[in-house]
Amino acid sequence: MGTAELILFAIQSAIRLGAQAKRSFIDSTRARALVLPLPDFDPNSNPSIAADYFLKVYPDVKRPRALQRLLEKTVVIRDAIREGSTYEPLTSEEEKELVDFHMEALLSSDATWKDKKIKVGEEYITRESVNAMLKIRQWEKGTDPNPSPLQRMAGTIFEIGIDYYAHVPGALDKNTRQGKAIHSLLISLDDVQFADKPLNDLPVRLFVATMETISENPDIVSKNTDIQKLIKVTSVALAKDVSARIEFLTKERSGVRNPDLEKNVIEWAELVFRSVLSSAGKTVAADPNTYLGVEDDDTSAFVRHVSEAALGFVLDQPEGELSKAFGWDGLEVVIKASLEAVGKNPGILLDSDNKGLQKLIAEIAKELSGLDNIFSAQVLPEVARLILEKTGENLELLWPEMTTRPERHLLLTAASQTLKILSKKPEGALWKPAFTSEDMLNVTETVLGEFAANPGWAFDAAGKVNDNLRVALEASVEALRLRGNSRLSTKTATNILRAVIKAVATRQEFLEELPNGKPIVAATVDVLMEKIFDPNNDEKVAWRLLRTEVIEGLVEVSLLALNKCELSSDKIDKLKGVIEAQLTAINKGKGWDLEKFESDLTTALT
Amino acid sequence: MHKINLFTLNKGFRFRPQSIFLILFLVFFLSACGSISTVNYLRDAQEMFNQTAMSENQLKKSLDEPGLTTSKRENILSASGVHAGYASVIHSLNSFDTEQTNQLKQDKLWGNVLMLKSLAYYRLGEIDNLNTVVTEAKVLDATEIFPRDKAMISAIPGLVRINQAYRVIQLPTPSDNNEKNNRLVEVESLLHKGIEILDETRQKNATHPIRFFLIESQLAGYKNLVAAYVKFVNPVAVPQEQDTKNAECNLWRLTQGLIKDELKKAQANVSFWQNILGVKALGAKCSSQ
Repeated sequence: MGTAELILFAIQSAIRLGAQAKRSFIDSTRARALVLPLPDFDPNSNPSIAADYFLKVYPDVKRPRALQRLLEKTVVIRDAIREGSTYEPLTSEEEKELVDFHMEALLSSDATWKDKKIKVGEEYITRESVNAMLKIRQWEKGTDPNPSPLQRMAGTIFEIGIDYYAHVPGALDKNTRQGKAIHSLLISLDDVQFADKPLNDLPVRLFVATMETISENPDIVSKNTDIQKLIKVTSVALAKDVSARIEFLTKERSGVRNPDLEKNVIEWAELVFRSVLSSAGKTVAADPNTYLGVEDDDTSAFVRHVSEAALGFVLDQPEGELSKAFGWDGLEVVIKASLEAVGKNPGILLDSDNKGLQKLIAEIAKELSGLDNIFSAQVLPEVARLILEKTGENLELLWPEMTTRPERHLLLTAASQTLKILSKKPEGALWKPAFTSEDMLNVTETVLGEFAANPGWAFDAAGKVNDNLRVALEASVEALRLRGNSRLSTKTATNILRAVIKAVATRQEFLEELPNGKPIVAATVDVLMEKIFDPNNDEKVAWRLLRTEVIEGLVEVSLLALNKCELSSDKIDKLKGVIEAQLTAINKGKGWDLEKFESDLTTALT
Repeated sequence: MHKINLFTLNKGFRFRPQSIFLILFLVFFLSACGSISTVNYLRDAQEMFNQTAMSENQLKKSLDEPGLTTSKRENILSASGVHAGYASVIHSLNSFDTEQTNQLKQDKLWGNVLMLKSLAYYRLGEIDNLNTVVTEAKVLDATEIFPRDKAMISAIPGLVRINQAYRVIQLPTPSDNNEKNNRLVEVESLLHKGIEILDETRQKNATHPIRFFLIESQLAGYKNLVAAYVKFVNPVAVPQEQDTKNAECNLWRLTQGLIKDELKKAQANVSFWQNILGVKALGAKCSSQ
């Protein structure tokens, strides 16, 4: 920096520091403790107070006889006043004597009290003790909304430092990964006013987060400038968002700050920042134009909006509810999926005034975290990822009322139904095991995949989710619960349900009810499970059939075969006949495999 | 032409660029700190107010600190000195011109100015001026007047009533029993309303340190109530049971509050009130707020 520039820089810095010093002075004047004057009163004793001192404050102290007599007379007088009857008042000498006893007690006069073991006033009132209580500051401790003088001055010095390192050539080595990352961070923070804005230690946290993330993921800092722009866009967005949120919280509380709430905001901001850097790195690098884009009002960077949506989502959850929804890893999954979704379909942001994404994540958390049993950190983020992924692929179909009725996201409805059915407690069932998180995700993924690929079977004419999914799943789960035993694993059951979903998605007739009220697809599962898990089956049958690949294969083959013919109760009876014949053949020691079953079944159904 | 090198005055003395930087830095820093004279005037008024109020409180509590030397006693203003102190505060605060007033408003100090003025008028007994200032202060919003000052503006009507009751008690005692009864009724009405206003303000500021002042003010009101019964009924008469109960609760709240805020130095005030009121700090059936 040349001398002229240095002088100008010094002038500007000095003016900034001076201005902050002035504001600190004004703040301290506003906050200054003032002594408040008490209203007028006579602090001297009188007979009534003197009597109460001995009657109420120190009732157990041993009294001189004269005092005792006076107190007894006082009580009589007070009773008479209360009753409205006549009484003999104290003489003026007696009144004075009573007050004298009081004053002697207060002044610890040994002449009267030396043998009486009276507990006198604990300490003298002093100037210091008077002021300690009556010199009152403006705000309660910890609630002053103004930056402390230290923050004002330190913040200004920090800003001056940022200006220097960001703009003075050679001040920071930008050839290293760390240097590039820090330069990006400093450039972005250049716009943030630390001295005035309630950001607490956010800048330091962002700085540390950048360094740690770059160290843990060195491959995301490449030679091109996109990742640096990512750091810049994200840190600016979060710093401004955090500052606005803290100001809003303070305003809502009539100017009173709450350090705990502010700390919560900043901790989540740091988390979102780390998550965006680590999860978004490769995504953004693959398509930087889309994600970092042009910074103007109409097409602002998607990364910025995803960051804001993530922070808005975590901070707007009801207290205590967030832990049920997403943890740190879950948030990372959601952020990455959000970026990909908006990348595929910018309409999620652009058509909803940039609010669509936050609404969707919030609705997902709200809908799914209210289920029975706790799936939280494992299931919810993955389901959210699936929903976001599919939404990106077909926004109009799957979320037709995005702006007006965000809760009516068709995949969300489908996922919610699926999880509710699978998580229901198996009361009075033969087969009781609970589906694991992995099982639930597998089924849900199949459901969402089928919905997205072939939505016609699941939506009614009005575009709402119809009952088909619920009917198919509920009845099939019921069949499994009714017929299965300990040899049926949840993984097998999951695969059976997936096969059911795919069959129903392909052909709606599987949902038609038989005379017994069961849908055909559930009746199929029921028949097969009844025969496979029959407790009267011979050991030979159990040996051949009670294997995962066999059970799953029997169901798949049955559904495929049924799919090729006209569905009716007659066909179910034929299936039953075929499986019974197969079991008999096994019992007789004949050879058996799935191909034979398929062949026999196809023949029987034709 | 011999060029003058700015960085060399003579051979043995050179200015380095860094030195110029530092000097300029200091010059402009100090100059930028200027233009705060209006705030300084306010601070002077605050200091005068503090000194005056401090002396007044100490006089009221009949300070009898062991080892208090004569010279230290002289530092406590007399009653006339207290009056002069508050008058001086009013004079200072009324002397701001339009530009200074606007500056104070811009710096969000006007609420503080109004609060100080209202307290000074109240102590001087200038009720009309007080009411004018309080009316102006009441329309300020949360960005113009801050918690302590706002609480004091709310509490002042209560403090005024306690003072008015004290004035009535100080009047010569009437000989006629009916007149005595009328005085008692008048004093009781003023004190009940005054204490009620102070208690409402206390509840709205239940965790702010100003609650200690508001509690002590209520206890001062109770002291006046006892004095009224002594004067107008009988020298050993007591106020109504509920009033005594309220005083016991307030003393209990004072004790609890001082413990909670760790104000050990202020504990002696509890003994003071206990001794001059003849009540104990009893918390049973008191609301904690």
